[in-house]
Amino acid sequence: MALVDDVRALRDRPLAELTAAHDYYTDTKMAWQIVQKVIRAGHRITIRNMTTGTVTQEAQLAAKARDYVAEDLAEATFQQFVSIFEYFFFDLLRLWLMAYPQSLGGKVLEFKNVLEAPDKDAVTFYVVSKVLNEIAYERPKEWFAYLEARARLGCPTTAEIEQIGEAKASRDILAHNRGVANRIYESKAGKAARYTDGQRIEISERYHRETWELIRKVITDLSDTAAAKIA
Amino acid sequence: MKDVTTKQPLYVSTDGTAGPYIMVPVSQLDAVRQLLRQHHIPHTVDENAISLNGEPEVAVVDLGHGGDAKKVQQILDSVA
Repeated sequence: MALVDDVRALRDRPLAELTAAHDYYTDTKMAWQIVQKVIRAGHRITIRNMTTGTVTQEAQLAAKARDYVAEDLAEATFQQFVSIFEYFFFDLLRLWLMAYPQSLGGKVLEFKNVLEAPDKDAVTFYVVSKVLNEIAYERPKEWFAYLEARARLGCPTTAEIEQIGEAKASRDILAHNRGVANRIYESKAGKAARYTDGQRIEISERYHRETWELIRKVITDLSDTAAAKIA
Repeated sequence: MKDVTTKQPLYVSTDGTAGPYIMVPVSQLDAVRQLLRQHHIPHTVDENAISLNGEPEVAVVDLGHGGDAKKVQQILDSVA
């Protein structure tokens, strides 16, 4: 497959995953609203979780449904959006560096790695993977700077990079600090920070949608620009 | 204020810990939002509405974590 086709394929998969993730969010939210309507109509419900032993009846289920939808579901799918973007970004960067590895010419590796590799592509793959692993621990601002230095795509905008950085910082807080913003969040989110140290991060429906739209746009812009540059 | 579809009073639900909310027929949404704005009640409206068995679509008005359910209920009850 030609490189340009690889880049387009790289775009289509995360876009489809984003659509599926948002459909899951909306359909699940609506399904819980149906449950709430059924409860309001006077139906009795008992759910027994055979694993935990928890028994939930209609009154508790209505309360749980509210929290599931307003908090758990929004946070889980938001984190999914950010993960989809991260996979896309590093897949694109890998594709680019594999196609144009000259910029990595100064990298040093042990001779045993060369001896163990079946061919030159395997050596390149090893070096590229090592580089990507190092960059992954940097902040999104550095990710984009690295890509821009090599591919000269001219996108996304500075504001979009800041918003992606804030989304990634929010995702990290939800995953690693029980959703409570800290100094690290403030530093990572920079000018786009929505919270300060000690505040609970919320994923409102609007923020959830705007992040989805932003990620979709940035994926489309990056891959389309890269494909046009290669073609 | 009564739900125009069920003729029952609109009420502020306090289920869960995500903050109070009101389930409102979409056809009545503007009137409810106008009332909330008049009383400076911060709120957001869910971006999707649902219809069951062909009944009128219902939207959810969120009053946020700090929402004052009692105060909003009084405001709704004060309107015929």
